[in-house]
Amino acid sequence: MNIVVCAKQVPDTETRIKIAGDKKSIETADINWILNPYDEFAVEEALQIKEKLGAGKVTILSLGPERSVSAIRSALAMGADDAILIKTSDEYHDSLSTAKALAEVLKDMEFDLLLFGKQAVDDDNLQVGPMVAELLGLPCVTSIIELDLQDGKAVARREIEGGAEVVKTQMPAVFTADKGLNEPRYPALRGIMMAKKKTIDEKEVAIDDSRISIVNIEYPPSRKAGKIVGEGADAVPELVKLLRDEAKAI
Amino acid sequence: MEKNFTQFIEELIQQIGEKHVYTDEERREAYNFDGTDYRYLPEAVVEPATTEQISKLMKLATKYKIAVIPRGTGTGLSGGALATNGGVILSFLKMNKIIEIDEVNMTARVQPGLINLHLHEALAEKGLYYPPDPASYDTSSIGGNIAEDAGGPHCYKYGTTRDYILGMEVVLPNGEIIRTGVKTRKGVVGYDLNNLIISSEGTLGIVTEAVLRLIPLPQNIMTMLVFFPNIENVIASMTGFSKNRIVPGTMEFMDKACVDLLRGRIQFTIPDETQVLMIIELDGESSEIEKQMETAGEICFENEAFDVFLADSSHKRQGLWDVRRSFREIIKETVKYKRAEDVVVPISKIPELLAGNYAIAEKYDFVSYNYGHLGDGNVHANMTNMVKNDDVIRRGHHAFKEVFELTLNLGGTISGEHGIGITKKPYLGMELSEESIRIQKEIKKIFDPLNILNPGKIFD
Ligand SMILES: Cc1cc2nc3c(=O)[nH]c(=O)nc-3n(C[C@H](O)[C@H](O)[C@H](O)COP(=O)(O)OP(=O)(O)OC[C@H]3O[C@@H](n4cnc5c(N)ncnc54)[C@H](O)[C@@H]3O)c2cc1C
Repeated sequence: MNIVVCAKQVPDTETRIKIAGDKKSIETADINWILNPYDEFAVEEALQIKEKLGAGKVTILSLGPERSVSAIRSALAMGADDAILIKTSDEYHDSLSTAKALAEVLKDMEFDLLLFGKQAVDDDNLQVGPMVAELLGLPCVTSIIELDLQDGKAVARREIEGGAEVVKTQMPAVFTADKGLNEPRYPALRGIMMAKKKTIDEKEVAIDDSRISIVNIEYPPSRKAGKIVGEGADAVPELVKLLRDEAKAI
Repeated sequence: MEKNFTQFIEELIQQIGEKHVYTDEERREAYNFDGTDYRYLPEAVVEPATTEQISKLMKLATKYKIAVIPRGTGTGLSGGALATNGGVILSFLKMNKIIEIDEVNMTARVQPGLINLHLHEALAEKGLYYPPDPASYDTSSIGGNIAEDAGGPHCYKYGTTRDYILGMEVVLPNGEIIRTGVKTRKGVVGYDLNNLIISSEGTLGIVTEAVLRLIPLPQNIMTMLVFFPNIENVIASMTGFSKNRIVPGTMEFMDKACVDLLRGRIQFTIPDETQVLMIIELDGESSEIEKQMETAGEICFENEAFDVFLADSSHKRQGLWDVRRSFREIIKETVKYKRAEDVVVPISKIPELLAGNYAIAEKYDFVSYNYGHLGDGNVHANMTNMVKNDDVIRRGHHAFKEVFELTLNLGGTISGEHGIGITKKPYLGMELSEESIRIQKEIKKIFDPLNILNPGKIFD
């Protein structure tokens, strides 16, 4: 079984994001870059499938600037076999141009299963997986929490409002991984050392101009200061009044 | 309520206002505990908002000879914040602010009720760091940290609370307000009252403000989980680290009993022969610590480590610390009786201490779990039993007496960070000479001739 996992490098979730001077991008100098946590679920799932079958290959495909290599190495350290990097400039590429570039490389690759994280935690677009599926004409199941492969078919479980949904599809197919799918392993030091020795296949792909551009990035509004109405039982009527009329909380 | 006490409360309300003084059952109940199993109901609770109010409180306490017990957030593990002799609990709930963060001088001025975590968060926004981080850092107060000289995982590399307190504002038992230490990065004028107050467990003075020394926040952290076949190999690895100029930010260990308890309950497959689990953390610039991590890992393997796992993102790091934290919950569900004491020995003596603890446990029919800040030689020695009754408690007392004897024979100390309070009072004479205790009691008398500030703590 050949499995390809598309993975992206993102800022560590604890990063204190600073907006750059142009108000359209973020300052990247002090950021610790990691493998997108949802992509980690996808990598783990691919490895578990390979281990269960006792055969197969897991290839990581990533699009991003040179620094993305460290995220790819994290995936290799977990146990992925090969990796391809579509190297880009540092500038913004929208979901469609990213998906097209990935599809361009994927159309020449042989695979039975194509996995994504359901979203990248940096821009939260949730688009690239489904777009790539569309461009390749493959079925796509998003936000899966269970995946079962049997006789050339895949059965996946998805969490939906108030319950779960079980879906079945032909392979090859595209799946995007949600939290709960598995518990991603920690890379062992030996794996990290081995991953360092692997060569990452770099591909040049012409990337379409983005049709979406970021106009402005701003911080969330700071919380409004609280209000102290008074103290003790005497203040309760006023509090109730404000909660009802002003805060509309009751 | 006694007449004397009623008058004291009336006058106190007159002077500092009724919204700072509580005598109702509910409020008193809320302050009847700390991190130990003991419960003592105070007669009143005072929640002042200013230093002046505390000064007035102490002047009145002096006039009426009322005991006052400073209390941070009550996470202390030696009973220091308990109203063992009745009296008034002095809470810093309303004095919990950061007064100023000075980025040029790398200092912060804070009120004692500030929660350690809130300080960490505010400093991180500015790229600054206050290292002392007791495991209780999300709930304990800076005042309590100062009063106990709290340590934590990061104190191996960075030092304990003491090393970051430049100066303080202190209200004395007679109500006078003094400043100890300095507001500058150094200073040597007069005796070092600052360090005398630090770790005095709220018995000499009330800390109402502290000037903290800050350092830059490390850019990145990498955390390793390592399984070792025995403790000797861990210590050999530590020596290897320093020979290679690697100083981990933390070196936390769990012994075989802990590891066996965790087996099957955590994500990792723990090799059968594992006797020690280590959490080793490196902090610094990414490029630097990546290299250090490889070297450290190799050193572990040279010392027969079975496996080294790595967390290079904050969510994975969280997962590794959860291994350590989950232990606390699991052990709570597993045993009925558990007593823990935090002894410290020279690092080279840790194998002897552990072997001794196991032997003592066997003698008194306990199971001994040991974990802690290995880099500091700080071992949290636990004695546990499946039942809890008077006999078990008595045996626990004897067992720990032997643990303390062993600790002292190995050149150690009977408390690394939790203090004496009331729980370790019976053992004080094992470590300190009569003359040392006499001088300390004299010092207490100079500060507090009426014995009204946190009486009955450390010694009678
Ligand atoms: C789960 C858990 C983990 C812990 N881990 C650690 C650890 O890793 N390292 C460690 O060192 N400790 C640890 N502790 C112990 C405890 O958290 C520390 O001793 C902490 O410093 C106590 O702070 P507190 O605000 O809770 O103080 P309290 O318990 O309220 O008081 C402790 C002492 O400080 C005095 N005091 C409080 N405020 C003042 C003040 N403003 N002026 C004068 N005296 C004052 C009190 O009188 C009392 O004697 C842990 C406790 C728990 C429950």
